[in-house]
Amino acid sequence: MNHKDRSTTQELPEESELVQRLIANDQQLFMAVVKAWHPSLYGVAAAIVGHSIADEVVQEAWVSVIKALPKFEGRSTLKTWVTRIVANEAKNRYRKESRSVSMESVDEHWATDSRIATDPRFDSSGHWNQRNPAWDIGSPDELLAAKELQDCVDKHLSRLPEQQKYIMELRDTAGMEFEEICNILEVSSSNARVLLHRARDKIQQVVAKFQRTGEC
Amino acid sequence: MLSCKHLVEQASDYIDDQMTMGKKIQVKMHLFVCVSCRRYLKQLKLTIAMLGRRNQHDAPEAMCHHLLKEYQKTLPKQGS
Ligand SMILES: [Zn+2]
Repeated sequence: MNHKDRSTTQELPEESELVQRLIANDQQLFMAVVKAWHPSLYGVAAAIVGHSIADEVVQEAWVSVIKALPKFEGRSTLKTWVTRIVANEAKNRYRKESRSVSMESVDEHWATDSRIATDPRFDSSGHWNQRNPAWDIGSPDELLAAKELQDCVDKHLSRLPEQQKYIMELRDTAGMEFEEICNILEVSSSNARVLLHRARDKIQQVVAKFQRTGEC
Repeated sequence: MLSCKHLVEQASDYIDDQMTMGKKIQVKMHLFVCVSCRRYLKQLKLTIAMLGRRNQHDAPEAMCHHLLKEYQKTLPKQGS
């Protein structure tokens, strides 16, 4: 079996067969699952502890998963369960290394940010100042293939406030549910949604400007 | 009617289906008549899809080896 392809998720067997075969020592399947789920598990870990030790966190979490697998009760899907273990492992690390990011400050940021009130895209009655132009590029792959644009996106992602970045990684890269994200980051769901939208909207504007002017 | 600015502010809630039915209808009505907001929504979806596929990070080989060993050790073949 060849599992080099990244998009192997759909080739994995359905849930109950997956769990049974993993418990019964299907090594090839185990490797396929580790590889197929790594991008999203990595995203969860990186969102919480940063990129430098994210792989390590995922590895530690898998070791716990292997031990607990025979006791897996199937109350959620296996992937959700593994994701939660990764998140917990990351949170433990995060506490140990006592990083200085405080998620408490979310409310404050929200209250003091007047960007939306003075959004230059809209006039005083809330209409677009200029008609929003269509983009030439119509698919995510085309956007990803545009090297200069991606460098530009990188630059702006690195400037986003950390909370916004975390929430966006958890939701848009790792595909986690809001409830889960709020538990992990200890934010209210209304704050999480506002911060998520800020981040996405910012990147939309970055791409839009690049499309319009070719400049970052 | 919902203004463009308000629609843009709530676009993620609309996309993520985190909206009441009443709000959703307001958004749909606005989109029906406003090309700029239709484009914005399409562009935001595209941005989200792009973000979802960036930084796809493959599992490192060393980690795979380590985990396979751990797996063999902890969950031995049944019957052996
Ligand atoms: Zn509009």
